[in-house]
Formats: sequence, structure tokens, C-alpha cells
Amino acid sequence: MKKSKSTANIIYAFIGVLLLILPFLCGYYLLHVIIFAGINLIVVLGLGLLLGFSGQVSIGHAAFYGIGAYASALLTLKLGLPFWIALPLAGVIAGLAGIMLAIPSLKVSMLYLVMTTIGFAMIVWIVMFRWSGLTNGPNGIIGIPSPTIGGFVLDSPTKYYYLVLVFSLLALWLMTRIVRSAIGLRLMAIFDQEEAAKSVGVNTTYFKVLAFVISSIFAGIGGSLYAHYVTFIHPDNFNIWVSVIFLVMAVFGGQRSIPGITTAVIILTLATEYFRVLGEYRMIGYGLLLALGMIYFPEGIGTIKWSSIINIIIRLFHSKTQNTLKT
Amino acid sequence: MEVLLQALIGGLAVGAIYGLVALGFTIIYRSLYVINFAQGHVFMVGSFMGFVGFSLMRRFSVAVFIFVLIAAAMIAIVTVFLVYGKIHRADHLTFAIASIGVGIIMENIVRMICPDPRAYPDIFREKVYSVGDIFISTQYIWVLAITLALITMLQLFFYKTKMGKAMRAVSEDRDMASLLGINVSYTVYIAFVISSIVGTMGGILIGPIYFFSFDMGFMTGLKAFSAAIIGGIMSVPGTLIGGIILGVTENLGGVYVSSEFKDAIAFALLILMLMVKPTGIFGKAK
Repeated sequence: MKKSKSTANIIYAFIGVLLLILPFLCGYYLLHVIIFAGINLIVVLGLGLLLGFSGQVSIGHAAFYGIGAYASALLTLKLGLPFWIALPLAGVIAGLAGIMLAIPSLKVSMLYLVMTTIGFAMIVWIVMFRWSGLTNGPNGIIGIPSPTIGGFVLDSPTKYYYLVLVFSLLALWLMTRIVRSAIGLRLMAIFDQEEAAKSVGVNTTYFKVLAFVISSIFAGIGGSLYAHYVTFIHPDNFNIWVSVIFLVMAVFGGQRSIPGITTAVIILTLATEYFRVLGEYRMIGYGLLLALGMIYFPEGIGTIKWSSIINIIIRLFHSKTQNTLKT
Repeated sequence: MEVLLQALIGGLAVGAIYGLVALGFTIIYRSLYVINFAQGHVFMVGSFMGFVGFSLMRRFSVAVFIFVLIAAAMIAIVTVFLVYGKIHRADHLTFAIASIGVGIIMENIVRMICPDPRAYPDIFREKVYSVGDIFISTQYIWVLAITLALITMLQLFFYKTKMGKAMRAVSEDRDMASLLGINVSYTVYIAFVISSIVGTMGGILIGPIYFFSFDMGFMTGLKAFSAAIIGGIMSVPGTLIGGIILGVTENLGGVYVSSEFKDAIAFALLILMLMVKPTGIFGKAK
């Protein structure tokens, strides 16, 4: 047992070193895709909390993502605030929008909740498109400044990679903490047996809204990171398809599985980008992935026992060392 | 006053089409309790097939309608056989995502064949009648007449035929219906064929009013779904009325409030309805 734990530590250390030296290993384009994967991970982790732990389905997360991106871009461009203030403010604004959506959503569940979130996302998208005075409408916002640390400007993918790495690791750590905390336990209790949870004194309304707010803050932060990376945002970056893609990542990740979500985000972000080679057929490939994935992995890839896979790897290593000892 | 009436008439016709597409949602939801997000794309594919048929014939022909509807039924059967039939028992989220996948596939196949928006040939021999200062296009009359005929047929099917009664039994209690000797998987096929046919009809009817374009499916699908919820997703006449309410409100809002935010009106109405009465105007609390 102790031995296998140390092997697991070696694997984690290996992954850590790999993450640190990644920009020097892979090309410009792959790094670009990996940065997107990191940003998506932050958003999808928040969505995963909402979906897996509180059982609320949202096809509207692109709205929070977009609100975060626009808030951050406008705060830096119009008010001249630095990135490091705009980023948390973007999270706060997206969180407030989350409260706005969560309160009407309390009355409805399942199908009707899905519809409410879609309606919300469509309205936000239309406002982004049409309110030219604030959002510059269909022209988008250009020239969003890159973040700076001291006098150091994070303007290349290599530099930005480390920023996104820090934030996505932070998001992973936070989400693991939230899930294991009293909040996570109460959310799971509400999801599994809402009446029972109520009867033992869990304030279900409060925790459902809280899950919505946490999840929209994550999306807002993701949006801010996105805006300052691409430096150009357009309403179509936040349309309903983006919501669908986030939801698909969360569902493929599997309910209540953070490693599952992480894997799904990485695989699906890579798939979306690398399907571009297929040109026109790309979206058909994506459609097939969704339809077939739902037939064969309806519970998401999180249900595949990752611990058992790691165990298999560990056993492989051990049997090798044992074999060498025997000979 | 003229503007108001004109907006009402336009809204009525577009609303009837929303209602037709929304019926597809209603039929599937009533029998299987799942949402078919590809319904809007079925509408788009129907519109495309109608465009191809009428462009080839160059005149109005009932044969085109029949061919297109048969093709729509075939598409429904193929999708049920390949995808929906395997997952209609899964939870609604799984089904929703798979159907979004099917929709993406449909949209992109059509996009490869026909990437540009196209205008329909003038199949209904458009004439405009004027009553005072109000203009009524013959197309609007066609749309309303065909919609009413289809709704009547559907109501008769659900309440008078054995198959329709069997489908209602399946929606009440699938396991019990199965025990009583109703072939459940057969009713799944029928439900999808009917929803595909009504969606396709909507697609053909909207062709002469707007343009056909490969990306019209998702937005129309969402609006139609809103219509179904506003009217009450469990009721066939309610769905149609929901569609008409949505079409008229949208048109009036476009004229009197803001044409830029016209598309947002449908969704604002939806959220309002969900907050006030989630089961819809004609829905009964379950």
C-alpha cells in the first residue's frame, strides 16, 4: 500500500513537471489549444458543480462566460482598471447575474429549468449583439489589453499559459475543497433526496442559489481569462452553441467526478480544435461524438474507474520490478 | 391601426408555423417525456427538401408535398433506428444531448449541399388581397388553412384511432401499456414520424415567407419550444395557441417596442411564463 502510494506520488510529480515544461515541448498551435482547455476547465468545473452536485441543468453558461468576458474587457478598456482588479470584478458581476437567473429558476425544475437557462442565454446573447452603445454590438470589442505582472506583459501564449495553469489548478483545488466541504455534502443531499434534506434542516433554497452563484463566478472568471487572452471578443463567442459545448463537456465528464470532467474537457477541446482539419465534416464528427457518446457512455467517462486504471499502471510497474528481482 | 392589424396577420401566420414545429416537441414529450432538440433541424431539413422539390418541379404540385413528407418520415425512422430508439429510456439530459448531436449532423449535411440562403420559387402563386389598407398575402391563408387541417387530423388521430389511443396509453404508463400488449418501440417510431412530418410541413410553409438557410433550424426550434411551453407542452391545441401568441407578440414587439430586440421578446415571454405558470396556459399541474 505504501509502495503504491509512493508510485502515485511519482505519477503526480511527473504530471506536475510535464505541466511546467509543456510550453517548451509542444508547438504554438497545440499550446494555444491547451490554454483554451484550461479556460474551459474552469467554466466546466463550475457547471459540473451545478449539474452533478445540485442536479440543476444549465444550457446557459455561455451567458455567464460572456458576461465575465465583456465585463472584464469593458472595465479595462473604458475605466482603465488593471486586469487584476477587472478579473475578480468580472467574477462578481457574473455571480450577480447568476443570482438573477437562480431566483426565477427556483420555482422550476428539470425540463423547465433547462428552458429558463436557454432563454436567459439567448437574451444575454441578443443584448450583446444589439446594445451597440455598451458592447459595440456585432463589431465586437478589439484591443483588450494583455495582463501585466509588475512591468511584465503576458502577451504570448507561452507566458499566458502559466497564468491559465495557475488559475485552472486553483479552480481544481477550490472545487475539490467545495465538493468535500459541508456545502458539497448538503448539495448532494438535496440532489439525492430533496425532501429528506429539508426535513433535517438543510436550507435547500439557499444552497441551490449558492451552487448557481459559485458556478456562474467560475464561468465569469473563465470568460475574463478568455477575453484577455484572445484580446478580441464577439457576441458569437458566447452563443448558445458554446453553452451546449460546456454542458456536453460536463456531462461527458460524468456526474460528481472532477478527474472525469478534467479528462473530458481536455479530450473534447482537443477534438473540437483538431476536427478543424476535417473542414466541413468537422461539425458532423462532433455531432456523431455527442450522439454515439450518449448511447455508449450515458453516464460520462467519469464512471470509468480511474483509480483502477492507475492501479493497473502501478501493478505493471511493480510486476516489472518484481520480475527484475527474480531474474 | 393598419400597422397593428398588419402585424397581427403576419404574426398569426408565423405563429402558426411555430405552432407546427412546436407540435413535434409536444408529441415526443407527451409519449416519451424527453425533449428532441433536433426538431428545429427537422424543420430546416424539411424546408430544404421542399426547396429542392419545388425548384425541380417549378410549379405547385401535391406530389412534391407527398414526396417530401415521405422523405421526412424515412429520416425519422432512420434516426430512431440509429440513435433515439437506443436511448429513449435514458434520462432526459442524455436524450437531449444526443438529439443536439443529431441536429448538428443534419445541419452540417445540409450546409455541405447548400451553403447559401435561397428564396423559394413562387409556388403558391402569391396574390395579395387588400382589405382597406391591410394586405393579406395568399401565403398566409395557405399557412393557416394547412395548420388547422393538420391540427384537426392530429386531434382525431390521438382521440379516435386505435394507434393514437395506444400512444396516449404509452405516455400515461409505459410499463403498463407494454404489459397490456402495446408495442412500445413501435409507438416510438410513430411518435417520431409524426413529429418529423409536422416539423417538415412547417418548414415547407415557411419557405415562401422567408428564405431557406441551413442555420435557421436551431433558433426556430428554440422559439417553437418556447411556444410549446407557453401554451402547455402536454396539450395539442395549447401548443398551437402558444405558437400564435409567440408569433403575434414577437411581431407586435418588433413594430412597437424595438425591432432590434425582436428575437429577445420570445425568450423574455418564455421566462415570464415559466415564473408565473410553468405548465403553460393550457397545462394542468401534474
